[in-house]
Amino acid sequence: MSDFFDNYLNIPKIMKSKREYKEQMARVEAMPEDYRFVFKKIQSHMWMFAAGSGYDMMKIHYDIIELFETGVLQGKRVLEITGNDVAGFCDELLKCARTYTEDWRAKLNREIADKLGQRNLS
Amino acid sequence: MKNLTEMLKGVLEGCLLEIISRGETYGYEITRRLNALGFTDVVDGTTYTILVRLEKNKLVNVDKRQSDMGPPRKFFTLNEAGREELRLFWAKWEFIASKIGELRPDRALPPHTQPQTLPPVFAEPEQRLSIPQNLFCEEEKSHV
Repeated sequence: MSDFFDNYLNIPKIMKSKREYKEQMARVEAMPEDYRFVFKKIQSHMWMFAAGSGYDMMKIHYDIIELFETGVLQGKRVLEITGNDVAGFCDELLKCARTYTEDWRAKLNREIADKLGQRNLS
Repeated sequence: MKNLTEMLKGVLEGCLLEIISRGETYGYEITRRLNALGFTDVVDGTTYTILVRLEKNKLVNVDKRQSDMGPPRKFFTLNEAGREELRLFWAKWEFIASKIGELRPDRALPPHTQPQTLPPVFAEPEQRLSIPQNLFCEEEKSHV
């Protein structure tokens, strides 16, 4: 229950998170247009998979900003950083966040293990 | 070589562990290293996603320091868990490489056992049929 409180009802934490979000998005706005465009695309794409509070997802996005800023300074175009397969890039990062697709997979395996036991495994 | 992305997945993590094990390094340097090795499709983003995962799985020590230009840069070194993971990676790689090497049609059987009379089209499946019994059963024990 305390996790729930912390994630959804902890007003100072929420305000701090909103403030940080604004600061981070200001960094995005300062980047060249191709970076800005791809960042926002990545962001909205990845949010579609988010499960739980989403704080982990925000952290991943903020870290991408840092990666992109380095790319800007190196004079690279954004696709030289992400590769052409931006969706593939997102997939790899989604492995580090809680996603509803992962929740479904876990649920499937858990329910089958509960019913049939572990004896057929390993 | 190009278009290796799918096949490289999983193996790249081991490559990164190996590169990091040779001394403190950072994302951009690792990418350059892999490009120089011939993995030309690897971009900074590829390395980045793996580094994020290594960090999350606590296989590396991360030291964030100001670099001469731009935002602070993350420097990576292997920790004890990372070294163990690297050891496991090479053991797994050894196994995969040797088994797949055995599957290669040109190495499956010594030349004198290949049927001489059949054209290659017919010879191939026969070779494959004769592989499993003598190879897979014993090998498993020795590697597990």
